[in-house]
Amino acid sequence: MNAITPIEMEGVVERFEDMGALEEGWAALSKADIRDEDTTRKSVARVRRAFVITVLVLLLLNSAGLVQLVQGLSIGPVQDTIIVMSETWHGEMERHGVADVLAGIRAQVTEFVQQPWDDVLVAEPDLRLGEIEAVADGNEKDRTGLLRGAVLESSGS
Amino acid sequence: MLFPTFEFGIFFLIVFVVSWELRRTADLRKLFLLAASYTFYGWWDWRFVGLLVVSSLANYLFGRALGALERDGLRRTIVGLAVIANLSVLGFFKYYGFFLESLDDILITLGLQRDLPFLQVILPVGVSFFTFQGISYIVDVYRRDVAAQRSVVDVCLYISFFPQLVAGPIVRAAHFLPQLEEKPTLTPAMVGLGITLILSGLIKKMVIANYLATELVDPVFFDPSVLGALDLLIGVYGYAVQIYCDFSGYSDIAIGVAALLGYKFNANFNQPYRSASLQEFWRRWHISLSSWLRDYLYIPLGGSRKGEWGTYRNLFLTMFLGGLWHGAAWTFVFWGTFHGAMLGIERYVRKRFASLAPPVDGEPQAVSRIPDAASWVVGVIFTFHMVCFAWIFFRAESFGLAFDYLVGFGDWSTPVQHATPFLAMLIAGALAFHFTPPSLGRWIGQGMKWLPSPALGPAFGAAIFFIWAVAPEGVAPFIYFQF
Repeated sequence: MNAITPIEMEGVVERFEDMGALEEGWAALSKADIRDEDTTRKSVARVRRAFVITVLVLLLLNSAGLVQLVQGLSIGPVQDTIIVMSETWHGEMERHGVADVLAGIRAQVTEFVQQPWDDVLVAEPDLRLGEIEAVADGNEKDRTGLLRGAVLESSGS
Repeated sequence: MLFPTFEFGIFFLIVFVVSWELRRTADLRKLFLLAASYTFYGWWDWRFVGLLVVSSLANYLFGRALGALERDGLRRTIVGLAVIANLSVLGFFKYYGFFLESLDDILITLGLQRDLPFLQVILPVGVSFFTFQGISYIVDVYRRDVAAQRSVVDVCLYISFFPQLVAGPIVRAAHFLPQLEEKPTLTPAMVGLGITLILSGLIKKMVIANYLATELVDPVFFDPSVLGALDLLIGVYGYAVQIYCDFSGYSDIAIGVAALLGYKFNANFNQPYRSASLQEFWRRWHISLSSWLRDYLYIPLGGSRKGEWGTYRNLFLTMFLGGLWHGAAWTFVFWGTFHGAMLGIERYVRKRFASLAPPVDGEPQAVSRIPDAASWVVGVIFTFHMVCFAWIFFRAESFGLAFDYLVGFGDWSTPVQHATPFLAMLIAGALAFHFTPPSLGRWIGQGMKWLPSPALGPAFGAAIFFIWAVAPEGVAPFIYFQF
């Protein structure tokens, strides 16, 4: 079948506009259809390329997820090969520290999720001038004394 | 197969590539999409694919019969039979156990206990959604909004198309079937919107909804009697946000996936918690269901054409049945009934309000002088709390737990146990999102529209990875799967 480029096609449409039926093998397309087809072809190609890159990024950053996914495969020679390849890949990612990114983010998030109200509400208002100086000097005793209150501390229990 | 899983990711990649390769042969493409949809559905339980096929074929035949007949009386009979057939499927799978249990309770109360034919009926995933789509097709053909389809594949694909199959949005036949007849196109705008919606859906579901469910809502609703008012209050706010993010997240992904396959679905949510009245809330919440109920139930019942009391009755009945649609439990019935009653009261109050304070000689009276902004703020806060009150019954396992929840609001001395700063931040952030410009998503989509693949791919991959890393481990099923 002859490949018809959109530009040729537009020409064909214009030339045969008033002539009714076209020769067999020549589909009459409107300019709008040609534009749609062209846009669709470009968009599909663009998304397909983007998805390939997305998969590569995920394989790189989430090799642990890949191992988890393939562990669910049934038993068989092909599956076993896939599992071994995935584990080798994950091992390489661990060796280069790429797999640590996931663990690092998760550790930070877990800490943030579990933060109690006390950490949010108490720490800030209790930072007085004396305390800041004490912390700057690295004097832990003075700092706890300030938190407990100067009167109690000076009474020397 | 759940959307936020690797399995679905691989499935979608294959469907995307193959379906676009087949775009020049429309029939083959539709056949492929239908096979993909049955695979997607069969991933849960292959046995129910048969039910889906039979339901689709029955609706196709009813549609053909309606298309072939001219006499009104006969057409009415056919549409009636089709609706009964669809509702019978739904009734058996969803309500058989519920009605029998309720009947048993009544008989025991009356001292007339009998051995009833109880069965262990497994609820097929998405039965409520594909039944409603089947009814939509039949009624649209009956009303001549859409022609009876000659292609059985088109009807089956309309009812079974995988993005909306198990949890909506409920797509109208008159909206979707014409798209199947056109040549599929993928524009940069659809790519931008599709990617944006998929990412926003993943954030909503995997991060916000899952954290709120596991860290706050599930423990709070498990035994509300041991918790103080602050936990309960933040718990119900959390549930309001969880169910919104869970369901609108699913809808976002469904609409995004459909867009990348070349099909357009209408929006299903539109910042519902910014509503200043319940009427407005139902125009913004689960839009595909509320408009379905309006067009196929409320208006056929007479809508607002049957006088004042007729309108109240129709509102009430529509919401009552809408509540029952959500689940086979009295708590859902109460939820729907409450909304129906409150919609009626709201309508009545608004009318009385307007008649009490009409402008005199063009001069606004006391009530009319209340600034619009002030009445809007009061309206938003009041509506949100009405909706939250109803959510307690929607989420609680039983009336007993719902009452325990309400009683707990009297205890402000018990310290907070479950509501952490992180969860409070999630709730506040999700509620604040409701007051951002409504077109925010479209703007972001516009930004993505022209991104070249070397930028789009890494951005999409990094975003998915980040969501995966930040979200709690494990994938919780979507709330609306049970409906």
